[in-house]
Amino acid sequence: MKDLDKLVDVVWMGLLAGIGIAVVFAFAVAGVARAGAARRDGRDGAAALHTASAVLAGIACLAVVAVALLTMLHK
Amino acid sequence: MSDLLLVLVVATALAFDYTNGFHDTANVVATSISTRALAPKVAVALAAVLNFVGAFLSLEVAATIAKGIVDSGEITLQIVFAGLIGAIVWNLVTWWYGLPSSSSHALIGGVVGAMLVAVGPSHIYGDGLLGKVVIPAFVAPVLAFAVGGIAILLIYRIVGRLLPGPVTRGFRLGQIASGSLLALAHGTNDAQKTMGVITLALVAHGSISAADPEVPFWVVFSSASAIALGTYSGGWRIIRTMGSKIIKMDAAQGFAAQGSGAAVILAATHAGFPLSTTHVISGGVVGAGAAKRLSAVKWGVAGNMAVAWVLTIPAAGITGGVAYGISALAGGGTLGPFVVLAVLALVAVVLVRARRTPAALAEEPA
Repeated sequence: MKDLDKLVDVVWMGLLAGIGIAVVFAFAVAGVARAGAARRDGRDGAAALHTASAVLAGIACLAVVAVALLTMLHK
Repeated sequence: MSDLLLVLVVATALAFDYTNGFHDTANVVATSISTRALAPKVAVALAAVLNFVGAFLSLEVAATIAKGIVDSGEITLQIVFAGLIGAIVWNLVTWWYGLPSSSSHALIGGVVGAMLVAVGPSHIYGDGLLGKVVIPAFVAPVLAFAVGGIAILLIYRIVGRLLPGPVTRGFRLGQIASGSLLALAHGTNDAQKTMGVITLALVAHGSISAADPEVPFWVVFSSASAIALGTYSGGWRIIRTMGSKIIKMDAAQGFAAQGSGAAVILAATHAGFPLSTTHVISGGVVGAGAAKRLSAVKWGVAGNMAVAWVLTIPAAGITGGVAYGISALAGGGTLGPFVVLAVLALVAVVLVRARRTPAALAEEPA
């Protein structure tokens, strides 16, 4: 059944995309928060590391937004 | 077909588009407002602008309304008009009670009801109705519930031990992005339906070619404007229900609900299996709330919403069928729809007067 196949696609893609974006964005937020805390404590190395992880997670989020926009444009 | 009937159908389609905008604003902005990610007026204005922009993103008119659900060869403008009336009336009723419900289902229900009265059940495809409307109506909220629930549990695991200040600010920023995506998706999906209805009317009128109908720019612009204006008007009753009556949310929950909603809608769009924005975001809101604490969700409100969803297609269908019946009894053609409008105006006046009377009586001394 064609509709059933599409439904299965929606379920796994929805789970993957929804949970994926939440986790990646949470890592971005956590990175920023930890970097701030590390800077206040004078731990510059840790601050740089957390900033880098926040930037990476942020880039991943932007990529997801770009994919979302492309999906809307091409439907 | 007369020019007057064409004008009437176009105006009714734009009126539906307007109700769609203010009815569904809540889906996009309610969680952003309740978590204070955005001020109410800013949230509604942003949603209006993005709904307007979203309407221009894709012009692939989805072969007008109810494709694969009814025999499109049998659709007449009187049926479309009656279907729109059924959808508008149901949108107004659910808005009055502050209940989010699917405008698309209302439109499909209205058209199916009018078709039933006009040409009988043989021109309605049961399989299409089941596969494209009924099953998605169950899948959308359940899937969004699961995604929203799992997402918030993982979010709390990642940020749970951090200072709440920066975390809340971060998720509020995230909500602006996820809410904006929802608004864009809503504008793209829902303004298309109105464009399809108006294009169908223009084809029937002979204004544009039936072989290769192109959507005129004024149709795109007017549909985009109507949904944006409706959004800007803001359905505050439904915003209150979605934003705070189901559950009081924190910023992380708001982001989980909106993010999971946007992800599920876009996954469905990518797979070519469109789901109702209303059903998805409502499921996400309840999921993000229930995962934290089951008792945090006001299940009575959620139950009322579920009842409204079940009733949407039958209620809009009955209204659409009655509207078509009145139109046909009045002789159809151009006169019939005008008689329907006159009857609706009369009913509205009676309802308003009936509502005012008890209040006036209550002020009198016993």
